Amino acid sequence: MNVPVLETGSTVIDFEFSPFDNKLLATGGESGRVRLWKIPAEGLTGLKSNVTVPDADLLNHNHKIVTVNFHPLVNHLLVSTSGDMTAKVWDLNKNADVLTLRVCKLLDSVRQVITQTNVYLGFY
Amino acid sequence: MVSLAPEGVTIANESGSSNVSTPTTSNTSSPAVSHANTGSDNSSPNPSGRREVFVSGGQKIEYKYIQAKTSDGAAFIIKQEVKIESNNVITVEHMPGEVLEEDDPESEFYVPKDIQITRSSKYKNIFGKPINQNLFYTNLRVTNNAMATRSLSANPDFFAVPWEGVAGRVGVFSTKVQYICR
Repeated sequence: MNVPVLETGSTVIDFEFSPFDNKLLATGGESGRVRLWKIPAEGLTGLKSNVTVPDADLLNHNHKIVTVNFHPLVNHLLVSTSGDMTAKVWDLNKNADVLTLRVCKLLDSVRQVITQTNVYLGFY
Repeated sequence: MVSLAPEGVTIANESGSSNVSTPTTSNTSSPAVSHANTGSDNSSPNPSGRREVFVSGGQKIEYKYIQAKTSDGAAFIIKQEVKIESNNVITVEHMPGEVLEEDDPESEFYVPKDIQITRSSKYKNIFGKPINQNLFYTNLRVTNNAMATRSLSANPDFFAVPWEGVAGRVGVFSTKVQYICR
């Protein structure tokens, strides 16, 4: 028995549920895309096949995604770091990146970026 | 340690309290207690003449041990508190390795210390119990791929695990629906 799962298209590296919307899942993988998925209320177990079409596709990274993190306090902000040595802040209302930070090394946790750019995030 | 009043030394024993102090000599200032060995002789096992300084909360308390004798000739030690007034310099006197007098069960003033029979542990009476098997999510095919740095993301409604297979699969399961994977 095959269980219906999400197919993100490339090897998934990081994924996280939104702290505000329990049904919203963000995934980031080797293709450099950050994808947002709306999970049905009953889960995926009632579906016939795998879910392949995401709810949103955030495309501006030039390398594979390393981390995907939602902002812990702002419901429409998402931060992703990538192998292209940037961290991007995405506005989920516009589905576009609103801030790009160049980082000198790959970060283990994007919370550090969030705390350093709290002032900037206050504008959005 | 027996604390005694400076005058009228009273020793409690089985027969009741009996006053054993009678001023016999006239040249002592306190008739019942004759001070002896008040110098700082730290090397002797007798703690008389020893001083202890406790500093707690910026307050300095000093104790002095004085050897005294009753009129019967029985020696005992008085622990006396020394008042220190307006001493801004707080120093702790480190005593050299000196052993306080051993407990002598034959002594008249022997008070046995608290003997701890039961072992004290904060984990005593705490027993783990495995959760019921029908509350497990078993047979989840989590990927072995080392690229997946995160192995679980969960909230009260769903949990997600990286799934084995191609195309970057992520298994998302509702915690409200009982799920049996065969």
